[in-house]
Amino acid sequence: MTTTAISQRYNVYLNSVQPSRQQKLQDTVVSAHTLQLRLDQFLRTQQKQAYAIALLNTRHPEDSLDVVQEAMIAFVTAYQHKPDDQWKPLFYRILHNKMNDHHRRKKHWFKYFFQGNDGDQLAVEQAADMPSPASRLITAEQGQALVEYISQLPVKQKQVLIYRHWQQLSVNETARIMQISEGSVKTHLHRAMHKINELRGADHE
Amino acid sequence: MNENQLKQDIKNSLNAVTDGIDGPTQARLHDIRHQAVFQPKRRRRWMPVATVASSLVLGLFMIWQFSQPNVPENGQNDWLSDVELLAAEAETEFYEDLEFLTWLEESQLLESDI
Repeated sequence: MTTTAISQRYNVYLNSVQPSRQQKLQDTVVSAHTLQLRLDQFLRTQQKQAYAIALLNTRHPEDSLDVVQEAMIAFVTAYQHKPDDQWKPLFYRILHNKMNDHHRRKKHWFKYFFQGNDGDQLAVEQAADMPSPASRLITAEQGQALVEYISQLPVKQKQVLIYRHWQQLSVNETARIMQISEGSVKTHLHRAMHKINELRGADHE
Repeated sequence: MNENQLKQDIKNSLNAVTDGIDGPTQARLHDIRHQAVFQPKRRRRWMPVATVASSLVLGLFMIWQFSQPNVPENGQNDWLSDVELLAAEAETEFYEDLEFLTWLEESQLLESDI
């Protein structure tokens, strides 16, 4: 049904109800539409970053788009009525869970085909061997190696670094997204920064 | 290296990743967002209700069916004999040929008399 047809049907319905209900009905519709616009605006500001995070984690452009799609749908379905200031940590928590689901599915896929305990290790090795599309994007244009260092970090260190130093989320928000303690967030971040400094130093030598 | 400088470099590098996202991918992201916000999948809330309702109807039908009085004995026998006749289709040929066999037997008796 087209937007015009919906609008016409809505107007017909609006005229059929009692005048006392008309205002309430209009307020509800305006409120729902405003919420949609706010959600759209919020996700518009996050979509590229969400995709980049997914890309750094999955190392596969199509998988990253799938993960972002699942996260957006789940967020709109479950959390749209939460206060706006809670949207960002909630959205990244969903994205985080969807990325974990993605890794789990990949592990199962490998286990199914290789029928052994080496499935997990193989999945990790295969993912590590693949070139990072995110690093290719940036190195092609700016010749920076920093993204490649980040993508080489262990998963949790990488995620903490991204949430804290790129998304500018607090320690508490990062801990809630990753469902770990605040102490673990600090430890992972310290190790990540140390590792990147090491890699940078080794490269400069 | 100064840690603040490193943080800034990390931020710039990751920002550059988002800036380097190509047009088709950006279009896909736009579609994904639009679909999530403006065309959310409707939950089929009527499905559990329909399942319960159909189970209820089926249950009531079964109760009604079993609470019906039994069919009278004669009626049941008639019905069973019909079934027997229909099932024994091979034997109907025998009954059709009975007249012929009777004639054959009679004619043989006549011949023997001759």
